[in-house]
Amino acid sequence: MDITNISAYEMHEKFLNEEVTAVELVNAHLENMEKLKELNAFITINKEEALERAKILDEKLASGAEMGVLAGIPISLKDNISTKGIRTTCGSKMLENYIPPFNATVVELIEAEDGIILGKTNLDEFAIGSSTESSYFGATKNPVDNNLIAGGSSGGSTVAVKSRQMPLSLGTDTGGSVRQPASYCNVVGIKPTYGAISRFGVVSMANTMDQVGVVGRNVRDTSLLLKTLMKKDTRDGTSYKKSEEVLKNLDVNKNYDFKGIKVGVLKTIGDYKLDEIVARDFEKAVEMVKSLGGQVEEISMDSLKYAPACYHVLSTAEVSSNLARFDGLRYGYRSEKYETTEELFRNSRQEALGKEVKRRILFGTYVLLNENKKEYYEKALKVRRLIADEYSEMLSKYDVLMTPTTPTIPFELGTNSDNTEIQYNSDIFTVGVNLAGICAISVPFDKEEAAPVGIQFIANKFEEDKLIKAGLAFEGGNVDEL
Amino acid sequence: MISKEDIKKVADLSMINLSEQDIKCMEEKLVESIQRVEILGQANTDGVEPLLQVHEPIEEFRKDLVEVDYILDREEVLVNTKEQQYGYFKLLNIMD
Repeated sequence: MDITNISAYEMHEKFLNEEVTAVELVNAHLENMEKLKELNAFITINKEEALERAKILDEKLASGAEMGVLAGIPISLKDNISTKGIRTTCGSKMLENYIPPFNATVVELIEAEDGIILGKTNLDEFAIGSSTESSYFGATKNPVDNNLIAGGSSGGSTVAVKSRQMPLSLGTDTGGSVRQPASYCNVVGIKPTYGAISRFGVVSMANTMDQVGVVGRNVRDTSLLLKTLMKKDTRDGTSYKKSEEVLKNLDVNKNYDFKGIKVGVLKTIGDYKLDEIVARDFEKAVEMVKSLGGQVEEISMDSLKYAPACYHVLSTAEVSSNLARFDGLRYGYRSEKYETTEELFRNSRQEALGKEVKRRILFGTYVLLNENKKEYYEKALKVRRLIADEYSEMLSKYDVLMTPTTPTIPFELGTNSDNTEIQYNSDIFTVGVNLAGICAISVPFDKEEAAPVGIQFIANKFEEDKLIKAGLAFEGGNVDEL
Repeated sequence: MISKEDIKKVADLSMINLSEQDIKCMEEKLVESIQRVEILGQANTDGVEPLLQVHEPIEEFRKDLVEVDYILDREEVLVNTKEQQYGYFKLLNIMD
């Protein structure tokens, strides 16, 4: 039996029952990573340490000690999550050789539950982008079709999970960066409520919207890792104690349906440009929810048309500020051409930051200029409230909202990543969720379909339980299905 | 509309050197970006307060005390810098 072919839950159970060792689990995944190198899902593979850790876990189990809920499960992390002693590059030349001296809180939580960190996944440089093509370490390919983009910016994470190089992975989602590549790779991706998971040790892109997200091959697996990470952390002032209660009593082994669930379905026809196949699958998905007992009503959201512009202004403004720390002095790339400190900063940034990152920094600085602030930055903050209020109003009437995750299926590698219109359009259903700080899940419509389409369910702040129930119901309650 | 001069100004403020060629490449994209966000002007935001943080207010502030467990050793702090001396970050040839 190929043990990479089963769910994370089953890997954990088989490990506890001593049907498979942690070392065997790590080796089986390492073998897939070697075979599928050309997909370029990983920047760094943590082979030696992971094997060492697996050995320790095998011994711990043999000694009869109590094991954590992630025991034996290999997990990969997007390479903007700090790992002590393992380089963390953010997909940038700037941090090509940077080795953090500390762990992100999420790393500590995974290790405390006996999970095994096995690799660091590829991403758009500094998580800025939506195709995983702007990485300094090259583009990631989609395992569904190697000519297509993986989506992004957490493309390495979704590709690793889809191609069974890893059963579970963490990404980050600032405007859709977990849900969109999950949709493009036919896997499950969750963007939790802002403040549900600690951001300590996660390299900031746009800090009022960044959230760590979880990727798995089914909803049950994904919820297992999510539950482990939803903890208050005193090292992140925006982390919330409330998150610890949300999934406490959720039983993921039950069969769920949509009976009694009010579902607000976004009216897409006429309002948004959808690929034909996305429109067709979304319609079928709505019918499925109805047949599972959902009380479906069509909704329109007026403010959504402003969401991509609002996101672009606010995220670039925050990017310009967050990326100011990269100056070549204390860590990261240092230019050799300088005679003054300022020249060191300027040349290091010029030489080590990529084109798209520079463009966003410049745009963010432009909207923050004194003479422009009112027209762009402050205006966008007000529009952000309109968007958040409209979601809030909708979610007071409905348990969950339902939209396609993206309006299009993935495009071919190297064809569109520079096209701002396509980038804008591709984020339309996801960015609003980050602007409002609420939570959402992307579930594949049909995991075997050649053209991947994801269905997004959105819930209010700290209502991840509703997302998981909706996701499980949508998967048909078939928890063994991968 | 964003001009070459604006680009030079923001590049200077962001401490990024750009060649004339870079500026030319950036200009078209930045002009396009500005055009795309102009739609915000159509939103009626009269009387609307800006939303800076999605959770209002912040849940709690911790005491402003040093948490000893989270302090890095000097050696760890310096591990990623290119040059160091006497436990400090070091730059060569700096006389300013």
